[in-house]
Amino acid sequence: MSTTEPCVVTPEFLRELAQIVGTERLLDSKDELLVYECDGYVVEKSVPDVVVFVESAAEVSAVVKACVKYSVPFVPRGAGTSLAGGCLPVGGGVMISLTRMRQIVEINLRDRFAIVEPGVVNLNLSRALAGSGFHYAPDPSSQGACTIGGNVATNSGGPHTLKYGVTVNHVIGVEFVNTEGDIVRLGGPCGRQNDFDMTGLFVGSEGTFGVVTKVWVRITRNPAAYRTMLAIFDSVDDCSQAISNIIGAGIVPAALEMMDKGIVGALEEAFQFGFPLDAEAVLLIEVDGLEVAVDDEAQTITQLCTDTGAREVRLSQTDDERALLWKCRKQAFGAIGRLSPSYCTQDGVVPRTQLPQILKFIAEVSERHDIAVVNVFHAGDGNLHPILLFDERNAEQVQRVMKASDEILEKCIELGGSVTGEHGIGVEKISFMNRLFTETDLEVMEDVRKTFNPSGICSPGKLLPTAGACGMEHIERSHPGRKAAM
Amino acid sequence: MSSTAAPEGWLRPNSVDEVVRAIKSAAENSTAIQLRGVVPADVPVQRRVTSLLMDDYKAVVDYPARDMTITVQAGLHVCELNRILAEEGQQLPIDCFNPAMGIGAVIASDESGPRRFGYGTLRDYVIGIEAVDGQGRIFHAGGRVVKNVAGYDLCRLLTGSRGALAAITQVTFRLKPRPVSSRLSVFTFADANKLQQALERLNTTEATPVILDFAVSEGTAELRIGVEGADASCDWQIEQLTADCQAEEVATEQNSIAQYCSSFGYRWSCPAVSVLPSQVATAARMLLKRGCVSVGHAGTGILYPSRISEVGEPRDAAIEVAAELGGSVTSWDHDHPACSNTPLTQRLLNTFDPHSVFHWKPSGAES
Repeated sequence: MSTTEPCVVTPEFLRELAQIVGTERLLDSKDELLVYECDGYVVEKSVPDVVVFVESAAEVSAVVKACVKYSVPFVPRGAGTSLAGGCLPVGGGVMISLTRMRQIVEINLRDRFAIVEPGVVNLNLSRALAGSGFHYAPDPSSQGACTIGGNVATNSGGPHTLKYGVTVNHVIGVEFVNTEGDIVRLGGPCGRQNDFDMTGLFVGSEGTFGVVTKVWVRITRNPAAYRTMLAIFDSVDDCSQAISNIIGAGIVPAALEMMDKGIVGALEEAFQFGFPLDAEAVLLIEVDGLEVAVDDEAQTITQLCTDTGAREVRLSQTDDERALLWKCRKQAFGAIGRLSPSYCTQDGVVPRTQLPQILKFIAEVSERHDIAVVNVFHAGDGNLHPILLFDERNAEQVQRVMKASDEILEKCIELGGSVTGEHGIGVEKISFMNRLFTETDLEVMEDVRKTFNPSGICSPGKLLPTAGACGMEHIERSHPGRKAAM
Repeated sequence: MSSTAAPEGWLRPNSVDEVVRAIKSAAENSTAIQLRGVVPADVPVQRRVTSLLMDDYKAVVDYPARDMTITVQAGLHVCELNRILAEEGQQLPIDCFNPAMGIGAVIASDESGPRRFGYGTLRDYVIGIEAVDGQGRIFHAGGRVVKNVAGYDLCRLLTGSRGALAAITQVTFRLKPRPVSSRLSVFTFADANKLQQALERLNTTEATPVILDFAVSEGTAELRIGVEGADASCDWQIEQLTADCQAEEVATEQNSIAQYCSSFGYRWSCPAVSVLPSQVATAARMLLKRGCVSVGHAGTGILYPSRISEVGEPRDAAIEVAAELGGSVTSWDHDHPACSNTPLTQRLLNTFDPHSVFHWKPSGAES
């Protein structure tokens, strides 16, 4: 696709799409399309020209072939929970919604894999596995809504990825429709077979290589025992130092999540868990494994926290209490509505020993720009989620939020980290790519994109600053200067 | 600084720039580069070959031990890396048969061994990479933090690429703590049927073994199971596994996992049959009927057959068994990712190595 060529959706093209999916699974009225103008990243918006709800790989293939025939760009979309504009239909075109491809095709407990369609909601796979002694390990906070196809696109993480790894560590095969409309399979239950690790390359490609139609995922044996703790600190410094000390001691908990005073207050109001409202920070720590081993590990962590200034370390006493703790953590973003009408979440990563420095810096940025920031994040991975609170009706405040966000991400780079640990680059962070990578790095990545997507017709304007973008100028930008591509 | 002396046809670069110069020179002169330590495709070489020996490029670039990551140059030998990590109570839990192998070659070859069942493979540990492609372009992917999704995952693309796409020059790994203690137990069964029954029970054991290997030969079958952790944890697991396996004999050794893993060299000498884990005992029986004993990783479905009779070659037997069970066969000297004929593979090769500096074309093929 040319970067300047306008996208034209003709009645003839729409008729052809309707022949493939039927008129009842096609949206093209302006009002209905507004729902699809953005994902969880609401700052930048672009309305697709048409949305189709596909139900099979064959339908995806036919839709893509029609798009190629009429030179109309397309973008796949799962539940739209992504937080960096990964499924933003840059320049319009066709949005291929995969939410109706939600079959769990096979669960094979003996060989520890499952085959799922891309629209399967993450949590539904674990629910299907309940009672079997196995689970699907990647557990993003949005797991009650996000789809496994979307997880593949963004290489999603979650609290328990500290021990169990992110999505790519659990995906052993992918079937996708390429940009010519052909159905291609990479990997499978026996993994890679005499070829490059294309599956590993595909995961995290943010929808720029094609449309996922089936995924082979590993399922993981449930641990025999858990110990879930809440360590309470009177200072953020002490809390971040405790995290650094736990990791530095060579302990890898199943999860190590930090929440600061601001978010704890909102969660307490929402769930009445009994969080201490006067604490500056709390650490949610979980160890799992053998019953014979978890108590020792929990005791070591308790001692490390106490030595670093924790005023109290509470051990969750029942399964219900543990479940409520995790519910609080995973619904933290939902509780933010109690603090502010709008918020912007960042996804920077720093080396774990740099957590005290970056948290101090975030506090300074918050003060300097007079923007309230609360923190709830995957501390064990060094993956921050500072949440900047604002009112999007206040344009000047929005500008300060954008400046503060940029400063935080720049600091992450300066400390040896990255601008995204699990949300992806999407359109939001494209401007940071040339700060993370050299011109040659980006040139090589662009070449790789072209091997899968030579014309740029699939998900234009994403991930790479060099990505072709049809009609980028039509994106409604609340924030000039954050152009995604071109 | 210029390269140190090396035998004719060898180059020992001590900088990335020298690697770039060597590759660009090969591209211009239509010669080929072989990365020493990486087994190339078994295709006739039509070109003069320069062997790239990275042994002089072996510095530890950064080892923030408390972050549990390390960045090293590609020539660092795996034994030296293990020694450095052991001093901090850490490890890269990848089994490598040849301790003198440079870490770049280890990644390009995707070395693995018995502990892959518990720890996974290199794709789970390489978090950042620097490499030089066939056009002489120095490129990077990933970074130095343990969680990072910025850009395409070229780390995984290069892991196991057997040197067909680029020369790896620098790598960052995520690390694991070294276990306090370990046990390796050998469970002996009368035959492969009994072994299969034990494997079914082990699929839901509460123990968490890091090694689940097997050996099947005429009249006997064995499981070799390794566990790690604190002593109490290891002892509990061996007790549990003994109950699960119901074997005729059990012999347990303390802290012998490292020795077992470092001596597991079948990957280099036998074809590897990949099947589903549930098919391992069946595959072993089928191989036995074709005159082959087999050893391998029951937990990940990999068998290494070797011949015990004059009937047939192990590779032929492996191919027959894999075909029947829907699996695949990989031999170091026959199979190479660059020989895959899928359009995507060929496009990637053309992207990274348009002058075929790394990818030696088969005889008669156009370079």
